[in-house]
Amino acid sequence: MTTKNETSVNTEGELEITRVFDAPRSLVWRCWTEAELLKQWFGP
Amino acid sequence: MGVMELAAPFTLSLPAISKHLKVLERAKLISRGREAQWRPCTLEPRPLKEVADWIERYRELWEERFERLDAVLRELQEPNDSKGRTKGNDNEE
Repeated sequence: MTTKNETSVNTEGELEITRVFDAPRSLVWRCWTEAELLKQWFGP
Repeated sequence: MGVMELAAPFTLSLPAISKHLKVLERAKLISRGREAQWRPCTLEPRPLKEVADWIERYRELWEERFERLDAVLRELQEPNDSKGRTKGNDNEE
């Protein structure tokens, strides 16, 4: 099951948002690196 | 609150506390009055609210993005598309 986002600000002043997806890592990687897939979800 | 009061809950030395207060003052997160020899500090909540608002905008933005990514991933893992192939088929780890 996909969990909702966890948000935190770490000591370096960076905003970290974590989410677990119910999918193989390689597939998630494709969604970040293949233009055709990226544009389906990354938009503002 | 004066420095002594502010320092009370902490194990830091007074000079260390003063240094922290200077940083907070520079960031306009506190304002300090000038009353004789002691300088009372007042919390200024507006900058903190600005930070909170900024963080909230990005949190919402990524929440929406990740929702869409979630949908894309689920669709890719569906057994077959209309052409009878598995959409998400690739080398798994």
